[in-house]
Amino acid sequence: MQAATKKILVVGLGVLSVVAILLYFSFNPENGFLFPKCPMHQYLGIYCSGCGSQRAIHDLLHLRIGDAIGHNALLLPALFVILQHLLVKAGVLKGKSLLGYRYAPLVLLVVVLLFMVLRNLKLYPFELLAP
Amino acid sequence: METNQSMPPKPNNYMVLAILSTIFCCIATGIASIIYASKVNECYARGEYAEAEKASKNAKMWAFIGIGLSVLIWIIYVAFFGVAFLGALSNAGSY
Repeated sequence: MQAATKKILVVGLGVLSVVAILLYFSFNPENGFLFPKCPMHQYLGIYCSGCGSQRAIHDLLHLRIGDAIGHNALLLPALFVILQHLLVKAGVLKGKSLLGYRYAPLVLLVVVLLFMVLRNLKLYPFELLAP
Repeated sequence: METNQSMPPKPNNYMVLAILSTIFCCIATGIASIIYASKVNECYARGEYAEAEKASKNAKMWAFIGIGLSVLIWIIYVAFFGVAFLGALSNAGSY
């Protein structure tokens, strides 16, 4: 990719992120308006691993950690892992990125698929994982 | 002992993009991206550098397809309902 294109892309995504954060702070996705719903849930009736992440972002921006975990339990760990990776890459944190391990992708795959299966079970305590 | 000298750096496996894709948007493209990320690591560990490079390109492609599509749909959706919302607001004000 050319440097200029990349710059435009980065600036565009930056602006978009700020707008998105403001919108997710101001409007609650729970009210079912403005934000798109997960097509997976709407058309297939299945909760995917991403379902509830929009509500979780809204909760998180209002510092309601418990609600955020309730809507999507993987969002916070995911953000933590990404942040740790970026900080290590930037040289702020010492040590090894959690994403740098050889079996990191496999672990992630198992976690995501397991999470998706469990949160669809109508069975206590797994139903707590539903968004 | 020249083995270390011919070892190219490990290609990027785009794990951050794969995670963003699975948690925020499309599980299908996210899973594809994760599988290719895993392939990057396995091929590289076995010394198949060309294969690893190919898997890296695929991991990137699937992550970008998922995230790109989602961002596009999100923008269209929010713009559409945002305009409708503003319209409703200005209508309500005139009564």
